[in-house]
Amino acid sequence: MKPATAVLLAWPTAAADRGRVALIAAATAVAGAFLLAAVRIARFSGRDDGGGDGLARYVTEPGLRPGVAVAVGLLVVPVLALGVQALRVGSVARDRRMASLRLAGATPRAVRAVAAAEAGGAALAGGLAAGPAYLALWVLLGVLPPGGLALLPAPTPVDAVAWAGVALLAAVGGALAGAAVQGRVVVEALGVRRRASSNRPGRLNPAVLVTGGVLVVAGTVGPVVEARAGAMAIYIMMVGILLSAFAVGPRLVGLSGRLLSRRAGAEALLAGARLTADPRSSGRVAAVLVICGVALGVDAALAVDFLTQRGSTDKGFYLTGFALVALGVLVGACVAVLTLLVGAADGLLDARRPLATLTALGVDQPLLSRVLARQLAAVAVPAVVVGVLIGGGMPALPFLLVDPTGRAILTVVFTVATAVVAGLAAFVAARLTARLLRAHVRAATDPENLRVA
Amino acid sequence: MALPELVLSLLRRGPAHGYDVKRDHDGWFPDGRPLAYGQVYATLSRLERQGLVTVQETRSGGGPQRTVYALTEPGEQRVEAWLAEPADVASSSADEIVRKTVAALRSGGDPGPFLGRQRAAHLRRMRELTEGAADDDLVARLARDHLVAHLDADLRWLDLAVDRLADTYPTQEAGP
Amino acid sequence: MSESHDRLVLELNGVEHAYRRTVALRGVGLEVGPEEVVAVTGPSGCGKSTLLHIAAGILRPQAGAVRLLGEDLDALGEAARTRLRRERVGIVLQFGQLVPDLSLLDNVALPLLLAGEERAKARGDAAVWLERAGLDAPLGSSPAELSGGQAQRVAVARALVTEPALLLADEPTGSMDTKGGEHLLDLLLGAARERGAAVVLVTHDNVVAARADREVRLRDGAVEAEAVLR
Repeated sequence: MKPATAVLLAWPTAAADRGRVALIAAATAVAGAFLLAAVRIARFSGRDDGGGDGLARYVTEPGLRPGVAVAVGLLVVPVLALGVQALRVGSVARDRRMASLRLAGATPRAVRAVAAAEAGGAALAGGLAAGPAYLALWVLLGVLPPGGLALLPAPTPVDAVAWAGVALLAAVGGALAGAAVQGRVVVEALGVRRRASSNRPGRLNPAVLVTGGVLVVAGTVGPVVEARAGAMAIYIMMVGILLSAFAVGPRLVGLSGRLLSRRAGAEALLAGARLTADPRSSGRVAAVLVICGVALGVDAALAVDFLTQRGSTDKGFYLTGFALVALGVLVGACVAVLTLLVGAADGLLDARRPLATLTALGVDQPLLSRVLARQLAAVAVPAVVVGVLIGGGMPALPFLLVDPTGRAILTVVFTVATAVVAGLAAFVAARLTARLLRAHVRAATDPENLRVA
Repeated sequence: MALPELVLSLLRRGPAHGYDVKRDHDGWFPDGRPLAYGQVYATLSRLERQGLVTVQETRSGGGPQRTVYALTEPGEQRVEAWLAEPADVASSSADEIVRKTVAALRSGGDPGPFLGRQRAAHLRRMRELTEGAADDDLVARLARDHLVAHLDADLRWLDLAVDRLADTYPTQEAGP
Repeated sequence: MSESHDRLVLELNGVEHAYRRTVALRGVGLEVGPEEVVAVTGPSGCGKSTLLHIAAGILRPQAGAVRLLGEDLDALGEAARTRLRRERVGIVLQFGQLVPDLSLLDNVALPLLLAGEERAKARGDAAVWLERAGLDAPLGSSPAELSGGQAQRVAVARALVTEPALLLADEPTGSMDTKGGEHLLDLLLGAARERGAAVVLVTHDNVVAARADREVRLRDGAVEAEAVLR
């Protein structure tokens, strides 16, 4: 298939397609902006490199800078996850379209090329938009804040190179992701059936999990052993957390689903079955929420630790710092909830016929909305709670084991309290999301969906 | 054989020569065996004796070929009675069913009610055959299946007739 | 029909319904007595499925009255209609009706669970009905692993599990071959007769229609003819 043909076939025509492409591009743009910002902060050399005055000490001090870079970099993750979810939206309709391409004579490779062109094009558009988005972010974080609080140094010409890199990365990454998500469409005489992908975690999963764990431990223990490794340790820990979170996400969701299925009642059964049937996409959101939880836990633990320190100077500075991190976590969590919303709405669209059939059985919209609320809560709450506990436990644990003081115990208690609060917030967010989707549930259960084609 | 009733139906549209009757009949069943003149005239004579048909006029020269036949009142009633009942599905041949249906469709008026009655007769016979089927041995069941399959084919043909006529005659409402 | 109105399982009167600009049903009436098997037939697009959905209370007709098991559906709220359907009506569709996330056993047990039955008992009852349906696949398998005919058997078991008073089937044998369809109907009609349930069978297949006690034929949204077959 000629590239031009692939692009022609990939061009979004239907309104739904355009929405999906727009969401992918937007997510890529925002993620790209955060990435550029993180790189800029990490690059900031403290000397007069054109970064501008009025920068907060978090950025100017070499000891604190890596942390800020990591924090901003971590924000890329939820947004990217949203982009991946957007990639998967409307897969049933797309599969049917790809199947008709196959029937018309396209090879599997050609079909994957079309999918790659579709996703790659959207991502490229997003990558190109990342530049302006980065500038907007700079205005928001670097220009508007009052003196001494600017978090983002002014862009330099080097950033343009980074921008080009981001655009290229986006295009390539998007194309690969699009081709991978397309999978192999099996065309059968009676219709289209995607080759059943196993819902068990992949074979790589344990390896990834272990690697991530090792990295986290190394990052925690490293600076204790080797003082100069401070900055590197943080980056290593970040990578470790990312790997572990994405490996643990689907497992957590699967476990949640199984526990939910064991509870009495049809609602729990339906909610749990949905989670165990497809832990992958909700597992991704759970991973993001775990990361948010870890960040919040670390933040809370460090804040308590700092506050209970005697004779600490510059309380305002550090407290503002902790508050900013919490704000960042909130932003990330909101993006994660948005991802849940998009995923749930798409799931409802895909499952229209079975859901309409359930209505015929005597399952009404209120019941299905309750099932959805349980499903979403089962994804969000455990992830956040586990994340906070791990995040708070990581700094406190070494102290608890070596030298259990009142401070360490207080940290643990505060961590648990934070976990409870975060869990409650996640629960409320899940119910709110389900409520927002009431109209979608109603549309899915419409008897119109029972009609043949 | 329903040849007499068929001839009566052919005359329903108006008086006609024997020749016309034969020609119309062959037109109604273009793929069947053409009707022999001898048979037409023999049937017409018998019908005249039974009072179902009457001679309307005779051209000079006499002879059956010049005679114009017309339906009488009893003859009309006989046709209506014939068409009011569906072909007996259990004992009639396929030809009989086709003959009656074509006559109903050709003889003017709304054939809908006739087709409905014929369909019901077919369905009842199918039900009889399938009800008794379970106890029989395999070969007996196969024989019944064959009959059922043929009845199903008839029904689909009747459905086709109704479909094609649906535009000509608007749907009637029937109900309890 | 000489049934007194109180004994009628289903009664439709002057039912009308339209989808956007297409009129699906015009002034349709239907009566189904207890233990009766009624076939609703007609060419595609004549409104058979719409009629079934209205009879089940899934769809509210734009005009006309529906009495299901003595209850006036219009007077009931949506929750009450859903509950009535859940407890007293069994529905079988042509395909795609099992919940893909649940196992076969849980699919059949679902109506019982919705009724509040305890899980172990619900699964036990479901297993009994699956066996009656003659299913040879393992109870824990997923609907995606079944053939069309097997899935229909599971759907019939699910429809029967609550021992409904009325069974509604929309082209249940539509996607099956002759022999499979015959066995499915034997199962459905046999179980209905045993439990004294009435059956409304929407079909375009004449052989299926011939198994009913009565046929109601629709055309262009109106009743064209009715025939008693028994």
